[in-house]
Amino acid sequence: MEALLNPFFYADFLPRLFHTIGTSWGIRMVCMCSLANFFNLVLHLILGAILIWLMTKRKELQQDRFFILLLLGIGFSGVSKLLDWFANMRTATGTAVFWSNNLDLVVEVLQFIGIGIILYGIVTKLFYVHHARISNPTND
Amino acid sequence: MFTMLEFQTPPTINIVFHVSVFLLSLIAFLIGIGLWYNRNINHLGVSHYWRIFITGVLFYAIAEFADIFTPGLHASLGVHNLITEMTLLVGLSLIFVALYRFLQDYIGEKH
Repeated sequence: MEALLNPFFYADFLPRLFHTIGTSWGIRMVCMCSLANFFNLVLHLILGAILIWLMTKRKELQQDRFFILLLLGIGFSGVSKLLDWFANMRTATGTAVFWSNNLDLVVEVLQFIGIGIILYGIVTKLFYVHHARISNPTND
Repeated sequence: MFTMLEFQTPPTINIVFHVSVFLLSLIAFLIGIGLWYNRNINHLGVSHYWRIFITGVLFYAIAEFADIFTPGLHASLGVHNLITEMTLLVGLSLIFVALYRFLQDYIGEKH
């Protein structure tokens, strides 16, 4: 088990070829996590943009609590991902490992608020829809 | 040959919030899977976006569990954070796909 888990805690457990490719671009490839962070951020931007587009297209959705909650949650979570990406990019492009306990705390607090609002919105809405469908089978 | 990440005791408040996010996602997963099970034993089944959502929350919870160790390892680099962020990416993608499909149906039902 230890042998299986050990690579998980290595900082530079990557093929030399990867390191070489990154160095030529000025990027430390041991911080490839910044790539995943970037796509997380893009996901938030895409869904946020879709929500804003829907709400501007259909005015009645601006009064819908579900949409407001989602947009708020995605806003908080998106800012958290932006800060997380910034921290990882500092490591990826800098000369030393960047770490800040305060920034990590801010990221987690924003993520907690954001994902809390999103999960609350989704769970209550989907649960409500399920109940509505059970009570009225012809609605399917 | 390789550099091992060294564990240092992080501030308690960081651990508290990392654990809180993990517990939040775990509770959401347990509620979701509970509703799924409840409907299954009543021979009702669940919608396709509910299944995608629950799978996404499972990935999210796994990522957040691994993320608990991030402040202790000061790990903004390495295999640990790469796997954590990739799992989070998969989880968020599934949650957002479920959400997008649900929104399509929801808008359709409204009009």
